[in-house]
Amino acid sequence: MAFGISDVNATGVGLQRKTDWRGVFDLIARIVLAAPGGYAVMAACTMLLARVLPGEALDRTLWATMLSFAIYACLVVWTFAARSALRAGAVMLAIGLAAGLLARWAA
Amino acid sequence: MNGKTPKAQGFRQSQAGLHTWTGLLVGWILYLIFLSGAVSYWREEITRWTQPEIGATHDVETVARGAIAHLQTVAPKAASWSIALPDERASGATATFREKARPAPRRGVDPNAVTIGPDGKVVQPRDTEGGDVFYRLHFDLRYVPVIWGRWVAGFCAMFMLVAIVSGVITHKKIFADFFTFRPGKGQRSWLDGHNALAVLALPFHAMITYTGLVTLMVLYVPWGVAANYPSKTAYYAQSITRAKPVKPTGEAAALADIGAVLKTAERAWEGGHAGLIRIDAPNDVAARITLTRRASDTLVDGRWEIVFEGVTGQIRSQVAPSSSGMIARGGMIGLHAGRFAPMTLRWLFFLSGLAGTAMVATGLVLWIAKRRQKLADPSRPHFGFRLVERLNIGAIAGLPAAMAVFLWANRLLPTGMAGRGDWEVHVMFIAWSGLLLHGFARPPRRGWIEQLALTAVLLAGLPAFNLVATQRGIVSSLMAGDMSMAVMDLVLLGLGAAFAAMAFGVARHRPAVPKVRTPRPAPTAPNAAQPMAARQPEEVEA
Repeated sequence: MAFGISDVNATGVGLQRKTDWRGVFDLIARIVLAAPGGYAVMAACTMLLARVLPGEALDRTLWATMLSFAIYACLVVWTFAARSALRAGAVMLAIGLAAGLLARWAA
Repeated sequence: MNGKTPKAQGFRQSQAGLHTWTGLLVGWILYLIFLSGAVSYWREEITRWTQPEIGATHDVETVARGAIAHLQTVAPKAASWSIALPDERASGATATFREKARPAPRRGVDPNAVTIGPDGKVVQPRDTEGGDVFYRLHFDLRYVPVIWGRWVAGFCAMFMLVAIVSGVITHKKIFADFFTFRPGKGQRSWLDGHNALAVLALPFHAMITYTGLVTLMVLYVPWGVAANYPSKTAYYAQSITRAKPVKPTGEAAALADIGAVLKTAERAWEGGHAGLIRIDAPNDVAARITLTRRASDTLVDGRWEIVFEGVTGQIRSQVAPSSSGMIARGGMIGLHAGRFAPMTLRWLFFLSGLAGTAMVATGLVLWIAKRRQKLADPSRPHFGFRLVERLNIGAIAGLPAAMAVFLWANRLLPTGMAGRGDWEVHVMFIAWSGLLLHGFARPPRRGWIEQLALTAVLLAGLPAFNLVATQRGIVSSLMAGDMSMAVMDLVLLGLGAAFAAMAFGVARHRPAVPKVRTPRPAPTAPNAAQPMAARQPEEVEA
């Protein structure tokens, strides 16, 4: 589990309490990536969708906003599932930049 | 398993951790949101129960005529009148007027508003927020600015959405889990219960969480609007079309008969009903009547309106949600609020909401149950454990008790008291604060028993008090055919019985001797005599 203090301990012999600093750093990095980071990437994706979906401006806006929560949830889940925080960060940055640039281009 | 870095974690394990910690972080607030949301499916019934001065409505037209007659006497020259009509579940209309053509304040007490009873006469019900108190609590919280409350609710809902997705991933054997219940086995039973409740109502949980976010989506995610509109005002101008204010000519003319106008609307809406009547420039040649459709008529929440010429009663214009985005959003909001839901579906929504409440509660208890076995010294648990354990008592058992206290305050506070409606709510929160402290003051087991028993007594006492001390006890409600009041009393009694059963359950429960995971030198505990093979499977997953 990606959480600093060892929680899974099936054997129980000498419950290990040594803090895994790399694990803690990885966890904090993922939280920052998921919550504000995921929100920012979701915002860029929502703006892109609001501009490129078919239909009137009002419908495009509403549909993009309705979909935004699904996008956010996927981004958060994926951030915690990624092999490393670094990799999660790189991919999030790439998605965010691509969506942001495309949204700007679609304006 | 200890030495491995997070990299080696599987997808499922990463999701299990995410589920546990996101769940704990927002668990108590989610519990409040779930419980207040579930009871809000009875918002109108609770309001009726808290205002026993108003009887059941039989004929809306009588109420509408009574409201207009009242407005005609108190404010014949007002800029506009408005009348909120009751639907089949509510009772009593609200009639109010505005002297000048400017928008009314959104919140606060309207000094012009009066309540019109089912006979069309003005009634003076006791000052109470009624069912609205739980409805507002559900997304605005209380004693914090409304916007903060909504952000907190949205934050928790987003966590809930992530918890649902990660929860589904964690339980790959999701349907097997649903049919698995092993009672009386401590942590195992809590986990099975948590799983069963979650899976049982999973479609409901997913729906209610997502649609809940959609109800306030432009607040949470203004970026779609930002992409296409120069300002939020420009967006609202397009999404909510408002009729232009009417300029009175000064030439007097009689208003069209409201009964005929209501019938015309009913035909135009193919059997639909008006929920709101607004009359601009009443008693003027330019008068205009706007009917807004009753929210319980349709699944799609949105602006359904017919505008009539005030003098002739002819239809001028009509609006209904028409674009795909408006219908989709309106449908989601409608599904969330359940205003359209007929009784059977309403009960299903309510019970699913309670299942969600119980799911959050079992999840919070599970967090404790799981960690209790791993405590280094069970007689002196660490701070985090104690905090969660004690907060669970005051939150899970204390909140329903406080909600019952609100209903007691509604019955007991003097009717003439200044700020009575506010004090009903203050009393509820004072009681809740007291119960949260009580949870820390008593030994945990006693704390649970006492608070559950208190909730039982408070809930079951309400119908008894109604019967003995008021005119609107269950017998007179049944005799008058007022099923809403009667069923509310019965449900309070039933909930009281349920809490009594829980209190007895905790009191009778003998906690299983904690499984000691280190090898023991000699079989001293009674359960150590069990064959190891029988206990093995329980210990694999944790």
